[in-house]
Amino acid sequence: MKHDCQETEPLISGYLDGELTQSDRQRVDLILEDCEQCSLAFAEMKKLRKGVGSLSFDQLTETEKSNMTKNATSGAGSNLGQFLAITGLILVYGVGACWFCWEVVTDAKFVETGEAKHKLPMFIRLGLPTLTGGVGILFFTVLFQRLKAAKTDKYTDVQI
Amino acid sequence: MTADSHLPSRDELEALSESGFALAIQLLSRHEDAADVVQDSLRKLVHSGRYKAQKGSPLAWFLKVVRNGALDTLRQRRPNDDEAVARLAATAPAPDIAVEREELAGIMRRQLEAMPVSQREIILLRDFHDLSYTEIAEVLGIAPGTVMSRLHRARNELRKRMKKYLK
Repeated sequence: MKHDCQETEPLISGYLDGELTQSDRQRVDLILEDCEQCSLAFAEMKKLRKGVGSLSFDQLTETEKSNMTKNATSGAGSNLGQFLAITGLILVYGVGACWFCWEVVTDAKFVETGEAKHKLPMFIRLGLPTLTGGVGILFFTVLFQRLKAAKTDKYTDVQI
Repeated sequence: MTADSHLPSRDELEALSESGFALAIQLLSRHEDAADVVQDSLRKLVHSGRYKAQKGSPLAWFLKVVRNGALDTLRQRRPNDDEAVARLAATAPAPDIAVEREELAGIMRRQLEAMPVSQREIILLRDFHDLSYTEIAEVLGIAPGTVMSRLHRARNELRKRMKKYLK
């Protein structure tokens, strides 16, 4: 069968792997019957394919495999725990702090009772909310940094 | 995978870690590096929840993650590569002596390791991991139509390198 070996060769790979269409497969069948160069390429590639398939490489030990699976799945639970804890903290601290600051800034107790002994000085009314906000921002910044580091630190599991 | 679970079962994870490690060790040649890559890939698989959501074969998706991790490791390792290759070449026996000493499998493995990663990986994905062309395209992130020609070029390169041992 008339053909260009250079052009046909990629089809030989597809033929070997069973990835050709029926018409291409029939074409290659005919070429392999006629062309010595192409049939040599086919035979050598077949031999290489078998050789690569039977190579042996370093493998994981049973202990390594089991530890890997355990580490991967145990992380899933702790992630859910972290998510719930952080959400709860944000709700309690966020709502609680906002309520507290609102009470202090508006001097709610004094407004409610009208008694002078309940009146808060200005530095408390402005200072306490500022302090609460500052502590909250610092706390959550450090918390997120630690969580990020814990997830990306390659040496978390290294025992010294 | 159990029907009510978003996570793969322990057996599935172990099977994936075996295949993933095989690819990682083939690309990285160092046990510790390959184990790190597989561990990271397993974490990604479990935490991303994509195992159930992804469309194609789970193995192809996992091998893609492992391959990307291995390539990242290779990129980070590159400054020392020349030194490692030089050390390997220095300890490797001359070809003729090697033929007498080593089996064909050893020679083939060494020739594969000496090939560019892009050629080595496509041969291994097909002939060792037995992936279809569609799965190979998914792992490598290339068009399925280009797999056959790329694979053929890679096989031809290996064939040239192994020419004298194939007779």
